[in-house]
Amino acid sequence: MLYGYGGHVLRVDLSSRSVTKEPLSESLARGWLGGRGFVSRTLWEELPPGTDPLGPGNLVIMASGPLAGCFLPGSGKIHFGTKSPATGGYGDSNMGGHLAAELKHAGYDMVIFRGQASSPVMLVIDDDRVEIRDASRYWGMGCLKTEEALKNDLGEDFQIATIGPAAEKLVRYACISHDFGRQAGRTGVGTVLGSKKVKAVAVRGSRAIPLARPRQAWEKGKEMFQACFSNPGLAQWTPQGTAGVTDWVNEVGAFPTRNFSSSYFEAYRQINGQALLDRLVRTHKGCHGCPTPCGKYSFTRSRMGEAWVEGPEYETIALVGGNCGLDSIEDIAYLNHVLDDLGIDTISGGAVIGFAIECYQKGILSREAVGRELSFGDPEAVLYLAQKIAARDGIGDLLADGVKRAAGELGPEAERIAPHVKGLELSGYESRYAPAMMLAYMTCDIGAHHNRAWAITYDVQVGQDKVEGKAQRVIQLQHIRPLFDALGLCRLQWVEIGFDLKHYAEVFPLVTGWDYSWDDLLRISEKIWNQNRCFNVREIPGFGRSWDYPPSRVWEEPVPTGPAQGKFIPRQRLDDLLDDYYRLRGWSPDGLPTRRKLHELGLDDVANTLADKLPE
Amino acid sequence: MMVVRILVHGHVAEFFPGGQHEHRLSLSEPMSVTRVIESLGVNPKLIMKVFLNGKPASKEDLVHDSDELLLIAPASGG
Repeated sequence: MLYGYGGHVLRVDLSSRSVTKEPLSESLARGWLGGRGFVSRTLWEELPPGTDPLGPGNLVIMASGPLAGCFLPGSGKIHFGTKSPATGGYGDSNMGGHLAAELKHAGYDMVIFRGQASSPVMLVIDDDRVEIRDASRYWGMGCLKTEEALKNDLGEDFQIATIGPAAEKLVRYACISHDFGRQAGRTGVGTVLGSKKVKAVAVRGSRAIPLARPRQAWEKGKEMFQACFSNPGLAQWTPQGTAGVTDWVNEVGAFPTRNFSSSYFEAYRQINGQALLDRLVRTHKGCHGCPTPCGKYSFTRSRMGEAWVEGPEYETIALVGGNCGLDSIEDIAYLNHVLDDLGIDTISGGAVIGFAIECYQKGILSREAVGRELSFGDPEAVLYLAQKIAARDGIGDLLADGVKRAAGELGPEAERIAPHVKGLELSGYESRYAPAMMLAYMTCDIGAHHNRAWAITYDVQVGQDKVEGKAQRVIQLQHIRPLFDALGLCRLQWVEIGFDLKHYAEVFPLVTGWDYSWDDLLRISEKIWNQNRCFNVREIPGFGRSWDYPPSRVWEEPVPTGPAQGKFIPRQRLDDLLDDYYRLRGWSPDGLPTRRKLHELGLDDVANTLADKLPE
Repeated sequence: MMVVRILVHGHVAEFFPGGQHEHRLSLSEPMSVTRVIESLGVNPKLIMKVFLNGKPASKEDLVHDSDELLLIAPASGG
């Protein structure tokens, strides 16, 4: 028996509408833990090289981790992965809620979707009963409306993930939605489900999760919850949730403003966590096993309409708010609701819309092409573009492919200001005055995403102009933070409360029975990181150093206002950062893992597969 | 000498002496929150919010004998 696991894998072939169940491989579990590790290894082993991300050959993998669903703080994370239609490389995203726990209670750790259905379907997992059912009547419905309809049709005790109209139309940054406001938002994982015509996944489980040492795991869980609840800052942090960081990001000169042209939004106090708390929040909302509920369930009345919405979270405030020049928290919350129901990632969605507005202002996009005027600060313009994108209508068809592809059509000036790395739009930190954070974006395995290495606090502590020592810190974080995604845990308890990481090393053997040290777990995280880099080498022609640069605005254009005024990162300093990073990782100056490094990590099969592409 | 108690919430505790969440500092006179943080070797900009004796405070406020200072770390967005 595998302790800490549901014990089975489901393989769903949508082309033949068949489902097979198999035992979870112990070697996969021991070697790759779960969640992000399962996604990484399964994509490497089972995805044919060169697969079209939107073709039937692509996979969508849904995986929990060994600590998900257990009596532990933050044990509600589930991971989705695929070959990304946004980047053409490794793609994954995770979300909280209750799906991970439910899946394990049904007896499964991973579901692998392949093929394409000929008409809309949904996967319904009810313990041992697993069915692919017709979902035609839900096709075209929003994410939130679909979840509500399925709760009515199947039962409220099902945990449900859905896609929205944007995924159905193959918008390349469509998300997967769950629990009326949690999203696996990044890299187009929802888009690939849409290409397979999978409208929803519904799960209900009734089994216990086997634990190696249940009494000790219970005691350790209690100790960890008590440590959370007795933390002196918890009561002060929780009311605003992630939105509480809005002031700080402005004060350190890193708030994405008007398509990342600036890093300080003069109206930030109108859209910050206090504004959210004072005007919109009705209750806190946490995920499975959450002692620190960052979710805020809000009601907004904006000039565009009224809506209930979970959020806005900080990233939405940054990308839909400051990045589009919006100064009303009510408008941002309403647009958050619209994007959530359409199934558009609010990070990429906000970045794409901000990019379109600046292109319009610069004359790169015409009024005729857009269909109306665009200006920063106009919520109706944001709403208009969101709806156009979700429908791939008019200008929305171009923007639905993301800023990299759109800029490729619009010319060199658009490419200079398109905020992305590897084709994934930047998240909520403008980093011309934060070199470690910039390096984190540049080297993130999925493209420009913040949560692999949120290194900006290190920039602030040791110096926002310095580049020396930053690469080491980024690598350290790139091993710690994504490890939570493999274990099935939320990292916020570590970040918010400052949990000692030894808690996790102590509880892991109690759940699994495996005597892994924290260093052992970090080694697995490093292995995943290197394998994902190799996945990109395998899948993206010419992949290497040149793919790790941000848009040239970063090294050509100083920040115009705010605490970072006059700051930018010269190209030579970006090169210095990359040189340090590759050297410390044991990679070549071209950014390629060496075969020696892969051998050291036990990835000989990966090294052998790429023998003609990787240096010795 | 005056003694103040300093509690550090969140991951930034790693930058404080010994990586600890709780500190006691002896002061010869009232001192601003900013100077208290600096005296522990930490950049005051790193701290997102400050509470003095349980009430919201600014980094310019003075810390007095027997005060309890709570420093809140920034956390990344979701």
